[in-house]
Amino acid sequence: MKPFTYERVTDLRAAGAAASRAGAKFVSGGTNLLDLMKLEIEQPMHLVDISRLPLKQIEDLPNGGIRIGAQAANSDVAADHRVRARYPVLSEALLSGASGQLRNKASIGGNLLQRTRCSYFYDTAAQCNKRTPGTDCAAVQGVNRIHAILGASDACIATHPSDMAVAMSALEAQIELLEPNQSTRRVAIDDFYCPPGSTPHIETTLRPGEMITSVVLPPPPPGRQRYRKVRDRASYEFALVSVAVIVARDGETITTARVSLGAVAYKPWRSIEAEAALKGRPATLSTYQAAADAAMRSAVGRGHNDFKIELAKRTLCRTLADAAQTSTGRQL
Amino acid sequence: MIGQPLSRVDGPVKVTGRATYAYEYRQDEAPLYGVIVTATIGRGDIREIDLSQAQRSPGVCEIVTHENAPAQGARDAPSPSVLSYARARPTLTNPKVGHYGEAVALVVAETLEQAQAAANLVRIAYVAETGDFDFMANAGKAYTPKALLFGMPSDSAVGHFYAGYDSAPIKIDHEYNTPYWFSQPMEPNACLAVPRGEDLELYVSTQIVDRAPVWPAR
Repeated sequence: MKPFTYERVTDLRAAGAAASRAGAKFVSGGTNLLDLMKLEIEQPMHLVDISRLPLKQIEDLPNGGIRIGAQAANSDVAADHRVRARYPVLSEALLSGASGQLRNKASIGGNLLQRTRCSYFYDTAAQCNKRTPGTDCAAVQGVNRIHAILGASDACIATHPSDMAVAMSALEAQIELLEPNQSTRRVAIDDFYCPPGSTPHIETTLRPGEMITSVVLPPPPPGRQRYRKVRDRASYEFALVSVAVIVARDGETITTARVSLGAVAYKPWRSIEAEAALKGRPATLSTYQAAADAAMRSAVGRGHNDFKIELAKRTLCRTLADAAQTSTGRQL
Repeated sequence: MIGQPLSRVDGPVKVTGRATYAYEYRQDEAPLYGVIVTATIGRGDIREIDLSQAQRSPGVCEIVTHENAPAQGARDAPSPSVLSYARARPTLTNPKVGHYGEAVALVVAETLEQAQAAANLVRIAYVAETGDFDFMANAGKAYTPKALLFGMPSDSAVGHFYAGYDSAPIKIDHEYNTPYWFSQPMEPNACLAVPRGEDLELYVSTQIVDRAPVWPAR
């Protein structure tokens, strides 16, 4: 590990000033950053610990939405009674990620900014455009079982590993940001992550020194919410495919739907195409299959991960069926 | 015992950090730490090793490669009565790389972190050869070995399954799948070596204690 300096800040202005130092990087739970520093993949010169900032609260908003402080622990958000009652898909997604110890330590803002778990990104002997821009992507011709099937480029086929972000995508979360000069702005989660293109090392639209202060969820859309995660191991494992859905129906007809997929792209992948294929259609298996086909229409396999396309379709069908199930217990 | 949820007797000691692992049996003075540098190719030769940066790294005491490692005895010949992994395994003896992750250098420093940092600075150039690394692509070459460990048969069959199954009054034909299950040791892969004149005392974590003295190359 390279030598670095460490500073703990307790107010936002000090955080902004500290972030302006050369080689500065924010740290909160450190559940991803410290691992990467030990491997010398991340080499910050100055760590600014923002975990003590007064950004842990979860507050109701007048419009029926909710604001989640970026320094709230993943565990606390998953257990919050308002989140569980109104945004159960978010609670389910959070609880499917990592382990109890990690969820206690990891922050909401840090979860959004965690780096990919691509094995070639972690292997410093391998070529990686994300780690060393302008080299090559070892995953394209390598063992790419866990890699992206949507939105990738020949320069990078890494996925974003978060479960939480998939639920937030289906909930149309807004990310609140604070620049070092104390000006604020909001970005929709769908616009927060940058497609890899030829610059996969640029992962988000965050500006230098900018900090995530909170995540705002609009009032929950009507319908039942479900999160399903498919992985090689029953727990403490990243998804091969995950799905967040919200399905509302009137009788046998689906009135509105939200669909987001995880572990398939560089960001939580909202599928407007699948949503359009569900809206106004009967709540039947053939409708779900049409939605799944629509979601995967532009999917591209790279060899080892070809199975993900079919896996994503089946996972989506199954989860839509679960969510669309009526209170009378009718199942497909 | 079958079906009973038995707790491991060493569980509480390990999860509370009170267990003494093999590498923690410190002697009178603080130990040095060694970190292994591993090959990043699957097959080929080491062409050049550049230790200039690693040697200048803080705390570094010694870097061992095939170019300066002391001579070691030959590897024991295979024997049907000896487990293949219970033989002495000379290492760092030549520039050949036989598999990905093979040890190619050992960096010794005053602290673990210093040894890790210096190990990251060892620069090795390889001449890589091609190899067959795709398991399924070579499935056609699969064969049944003549015997397993200690000459045990590679297949075992009792009776006549298909004859019995075909005439059975009730048949259950089903495929079962289970996820991967791993037994994860908590103890890190680390040992403590204490030179005692001509002798070397080793503290190791091992399943087969009586074979352990055979493993170090002489």
